[in-house]
Amino acid sequence: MTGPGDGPVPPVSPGRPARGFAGLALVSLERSRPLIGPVAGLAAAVILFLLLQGNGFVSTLVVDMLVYAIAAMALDFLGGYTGLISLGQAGFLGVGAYGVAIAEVHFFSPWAAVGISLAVVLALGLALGIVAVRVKGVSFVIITLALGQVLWGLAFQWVGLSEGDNGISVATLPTLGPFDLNDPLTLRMTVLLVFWVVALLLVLLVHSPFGLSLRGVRSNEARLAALGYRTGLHRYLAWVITVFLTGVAGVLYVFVNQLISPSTMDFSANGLFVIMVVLGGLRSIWGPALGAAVIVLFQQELSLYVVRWQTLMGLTLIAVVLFSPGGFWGLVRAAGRRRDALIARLRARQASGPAPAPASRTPAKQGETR
Amino acid sequence: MTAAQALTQDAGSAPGPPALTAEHLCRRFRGVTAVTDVSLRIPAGTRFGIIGPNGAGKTTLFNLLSGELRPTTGSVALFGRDITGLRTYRRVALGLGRTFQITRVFGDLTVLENLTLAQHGLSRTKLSPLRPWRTYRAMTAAATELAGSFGLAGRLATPAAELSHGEVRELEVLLALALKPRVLLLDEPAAGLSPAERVSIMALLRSLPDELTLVMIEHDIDVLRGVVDSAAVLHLGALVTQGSMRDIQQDDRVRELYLGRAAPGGRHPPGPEGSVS
Repeated sequence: MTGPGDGPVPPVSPGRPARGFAGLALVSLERSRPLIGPVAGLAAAVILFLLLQGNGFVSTLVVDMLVYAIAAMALDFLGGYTGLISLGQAGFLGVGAYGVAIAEVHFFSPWAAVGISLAVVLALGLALGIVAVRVKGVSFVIITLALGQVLWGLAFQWVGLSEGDNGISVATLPTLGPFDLNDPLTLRMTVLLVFWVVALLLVLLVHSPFGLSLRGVRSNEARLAALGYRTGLHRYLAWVITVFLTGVAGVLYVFVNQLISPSTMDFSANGLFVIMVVLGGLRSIWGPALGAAVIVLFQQELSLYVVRWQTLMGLTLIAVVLFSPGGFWGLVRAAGRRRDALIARLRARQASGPAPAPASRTPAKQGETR
Repeated sequence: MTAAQALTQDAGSAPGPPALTAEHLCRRFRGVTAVTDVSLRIPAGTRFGIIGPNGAGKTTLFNLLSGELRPTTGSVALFGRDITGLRTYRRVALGLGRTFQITRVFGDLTVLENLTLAQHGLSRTKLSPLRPWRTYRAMTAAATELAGSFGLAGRLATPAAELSHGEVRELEVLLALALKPRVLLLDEPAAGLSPAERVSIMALLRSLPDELTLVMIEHDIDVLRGVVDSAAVLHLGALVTQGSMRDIQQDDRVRELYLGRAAPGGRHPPGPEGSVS
């Protein structure tokens, strides 16, 4: 479930005239219920589009947010839905970025570099998944942490390939006719487009039977196996999808920053992705995007004014975990539940009103299912 | 083993291979032998009980049959086909369903989501990545119908974690039934239920189609009476006897096991002390 507009929609009350203020409120709540999600999404699309038009610091900031949001949403797919929290995501983002940079250094065209990078990430995901997905729980966290550190170590120490601590800068970005990623606006719009494609892909995935099976894996894997599911395969596929999408974020990262160095993949960066997901709200896709936006804001803007910005980030995380365990998106969900409860109350009041209207069967508390 | 041989000969005259056969199953855990040389032959369409006090190895035997565990030695066959080397999900595809003693439903999924997952279990659609699961009308309709047929119709949107214990046990059985198994292994379906809930789950079990082979674990002989035709008795991992329920209830070793040495003769139904726990 990704939004408060999900779940079985209570039917609009059948042809009863609305009475008084309560009736009016009921009708407007019922009518608006299925619209809020799409309208909010459209508003977000328009706002993001407008924010990315300028060349100032706002658009730079928002592009960074979008790149990290892609990686955070991908991690939510694996960590939130499938229950496999990975602490090696920065490593895979780095592989996507280094893939492009190293291929360009070796005189491949920018497009070929993108292809090579994504192929490497995919191959790495397929290969490492065989190891990583064998274990669950804390062991999985530790294994992914180790994998992330190995990737970081390669970037740091394989100087011949990665140029070590200095990192590699990427001078030229892909061009295709009038479509030129070297143009900042085109690049920003491309990032925005990829963000929406990945977000919608993930939303489709989590609502599909495959996504349902991943929630089943997280909830009770042995039961799922007894229902005919080859659960290891489902975990493996979730892993590969997440690693690949994180690599995509890495490609965009190196395009936006035109530089990749080992510090992008270091230990704390891995933790940052998990914080984004938890802060935004596990199992919501959109929540981790919000979480990424807030963390990037802290990292890049707050750090200019507050030296101890990481302390503030920590306090924010503690506050969110204490007061809204569902993260930011938990607040959205709670609002949706309150709205549904209000609809049910208003319906009950309408049904028991003075007019001899036939009492309609009101689903008591339907709608939000999770 | 004489009773087992007698049963084997009986079943030999029945048409078709037996639903489930176990040959000399053994399972050791680090030196502890949980199941010792158990051979079973369960003819198709029967209701079969596996009885024994707690710790007798009943659940381990089930895990060997369903594929959660591999036997140290011995083999398992389903309708004559050797399935010893097959993993759980492959056995499920061949028609072997099971429920769990410690209830395993998907707690944070709704009843509808639970049953829909089960509906997709044997279909290729379980890997379908892009189409919302709610749009698989046939699957959700079947899930809804299944829930409705056993009193969970009003609970479709409820997370399974919020169901009552009795409802959870029902959902557990429905999950297994959704796959239309040919053989269903039930691990203490009535465990922890109130007497009223016990009656309703037993009614559910009795209403199952005749061609379905049921194998039920129970430590309380009373519960099995009237539900199963024949049974095997396990004690300390070994088969004590197997045969018809009537024979088992009159078997001295079984009576000793359940009632202690001072068991009076005659046809006293085992009292509350019959449920060794």
